[in-house]
Amino acid sequence: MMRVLRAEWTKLRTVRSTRWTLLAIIGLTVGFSVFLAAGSSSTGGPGGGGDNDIMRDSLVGVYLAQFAVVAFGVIAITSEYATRMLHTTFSAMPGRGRVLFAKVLLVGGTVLVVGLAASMTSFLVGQPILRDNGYGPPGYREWTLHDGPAQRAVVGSALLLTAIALLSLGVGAILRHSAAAISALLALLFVPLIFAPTLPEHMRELVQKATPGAGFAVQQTVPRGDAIPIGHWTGLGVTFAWAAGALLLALFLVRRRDA
Amino acid sequence: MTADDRGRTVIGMAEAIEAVQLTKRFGGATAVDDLSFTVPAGYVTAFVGPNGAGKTTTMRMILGLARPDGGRALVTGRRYTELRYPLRQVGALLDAAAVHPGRRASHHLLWIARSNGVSPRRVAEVLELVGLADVARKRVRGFSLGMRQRLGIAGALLGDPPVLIFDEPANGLDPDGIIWLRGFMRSLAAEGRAVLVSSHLMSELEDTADRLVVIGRGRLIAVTGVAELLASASGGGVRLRTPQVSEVMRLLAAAGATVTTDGPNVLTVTGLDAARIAELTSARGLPLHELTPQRATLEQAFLQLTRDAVEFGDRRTS
Repeated sequence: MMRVLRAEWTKLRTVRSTRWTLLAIIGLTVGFSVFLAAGSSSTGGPGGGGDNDIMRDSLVGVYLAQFAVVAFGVIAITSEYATRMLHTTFSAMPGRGRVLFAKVLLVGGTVLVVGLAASMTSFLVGQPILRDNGYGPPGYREWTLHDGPAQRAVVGSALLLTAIALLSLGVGAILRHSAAAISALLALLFVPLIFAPTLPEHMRELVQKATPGAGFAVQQTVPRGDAIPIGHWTGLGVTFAWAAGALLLALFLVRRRDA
Repeated sequence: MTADDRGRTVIGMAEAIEAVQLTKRFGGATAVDDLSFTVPAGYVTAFVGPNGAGKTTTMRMILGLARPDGGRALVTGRRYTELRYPLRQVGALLDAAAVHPGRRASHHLLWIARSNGVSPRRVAEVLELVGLADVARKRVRGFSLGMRQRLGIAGALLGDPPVLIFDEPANGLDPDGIIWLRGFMRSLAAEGRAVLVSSHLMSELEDTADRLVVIGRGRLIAVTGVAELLASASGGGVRLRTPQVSEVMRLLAAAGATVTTDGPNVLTVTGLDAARIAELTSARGLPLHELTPQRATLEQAFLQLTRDAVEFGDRRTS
C-alpha cells in the first residue's frame, strides 16, 4: 500500500494543474467571502441587531470553491482515462481497489489541508470586515477561533470540501470523462441551490436535507428561514454519505470493467 | 539447464508467457478465440496478424487489463494480477501516447518506479538507455510519437524484467529509430529475456524475430520459426538463365515442372528444386548461366498465411 501511495503522490505533485486548482480553492473561498463581506452592511446600523448569520457569511466563498474542488477530484482520475495512462497505472499496480483507495487518501487529505487553510483565512479575514460594516456587538456576537461554533464552522467547511472532493473522485471514476463528470457534479451541487427556494416547503426541505449541499448546515449559527433544516454534523454526514456511495459504486465498476 | 539450438544456456523455468485457450468477446463479436501459445525466454517472438486480429486484446489480457471470457494467461507461471512486483517480472509498452502531457519524462518514470519499489536511480539509467537523457526534464507534451515510444520502452525496462511485451513499438519511429529498436530487441533476447512484440507489418520484424505467432480473426493461424515459414512459403520457384531455352524447357517440362519464360533466356521453374534442375541439365550437357531459388519474402509468406483471415477483405480495422 505504501508503494501505491508513493506512486500516486508522485503523480499528483508532478502536474501543474494540482498546484493551480489548490490555489484556486483558497483564492475562491477567501476572495468571494471577502468580496461579499466588504459589500454588505448591517441594516440595523453599527452594533444594531439582526438575524444575519455572520458565521456563514464569512465562509460563503466555500460555495464557489466547490468548482475548483470538483475539478480537482474529477481530474485526479479522469485525466488518466483521457490519456489512457490508466493502462500503465493498472499494469504497474494491478490491485485496482488499492489504487482507488490511495487516490481517496491523497485527494481527501490534500483538500482537507488546503480547505482548512482556506476556511480559516476566510473566517479570520472576513469577520473583522463584517464587524467594521456594522455586524458587531452588541447586536452581533464577536466570533473568534476560540468559540466552539466558529471551530465547527471552519473545520466543518474544510471537511465539507473534502467530502465534495471524494464525491467528485467517485463520479469521475464512474463516468470516466472529465466534462461529463464535472457537469453531473455541478448539476448535483448547484441545481438544488437554485431551484429549492421555488419548491413547496416539504419538497424544499427534503431536497435541502438529501442533496450533498446539506453539509453546508455545518456553517450555520442562526436559525434563519433560509437555513438548511438539518443538524450541523448530520448535514455533513449526508455529504459524506454521497461521497461514500459514489466511491463504492466506483470501486465496483473499476474492478469489474476492463481498463 | 539445457542448451538450446543456438548454443545458449536456458535455465529450466516455466514458459515466460503462456496463453491457454484465451477467449475474449465484445458484445457478440469474438475478438480472441480459443488462443493458445507460449513465449519462451531468450527469443524474440513476433506476434503478427492483420489489424483487428486481436493482438492488442490478447496483450491486454496477459497484462491483466482485460478480463478473459475464457482461458487464462500466465506470466512466469502466474497470473499477472497475482504478481507482487509486476514490473519486475514484465515490462510492457502498449500505447506510447498514453502519457500525461503535462508531466516531465523523468517524473513519469519516477511514479512508475515508486509503484514497484524500483530505485529512483534507475530512472536516469533507462532514460540513458533509450536515448532520452537530454530531455528527461522536459514535459511530455513536446515529445514526438517516436520519443514517446522510447519513453514507453524506458518504462517497460524500469524493473529490469525478464519478460517484455511491446505492442507495435515501431509506430512513429523514424528509420533510425526502427533500426535501433531491432537491435535493442535482439540484445534483450540475447540477455535471456523473453520478448513478445506485435506488428501488423511482417517486414518490420523480418530480421528481428526468431519465432512467429500468427493470428487472424482472433484465432491462432501458425506458430512457427521465421526460417521454417520462409522455407515453407518459398513457392517462388527457381529462376534460371540459359542460352538454350527451348531444350531446357522441354527437358524440365518432361520432368514434371511448370516452366514459364520471363524474358529472353530467362525461365522460372516451379515443381522442381534447384538441385534437381542442375542435375537434369548437366546430365544433358545443357549450359546454365544462372540458377537462383526465388525465396518468398517473409511478407509474402505472411500474406499467404493470413490471406483468409483478414476480416472484411481489404477494409482494415484497428
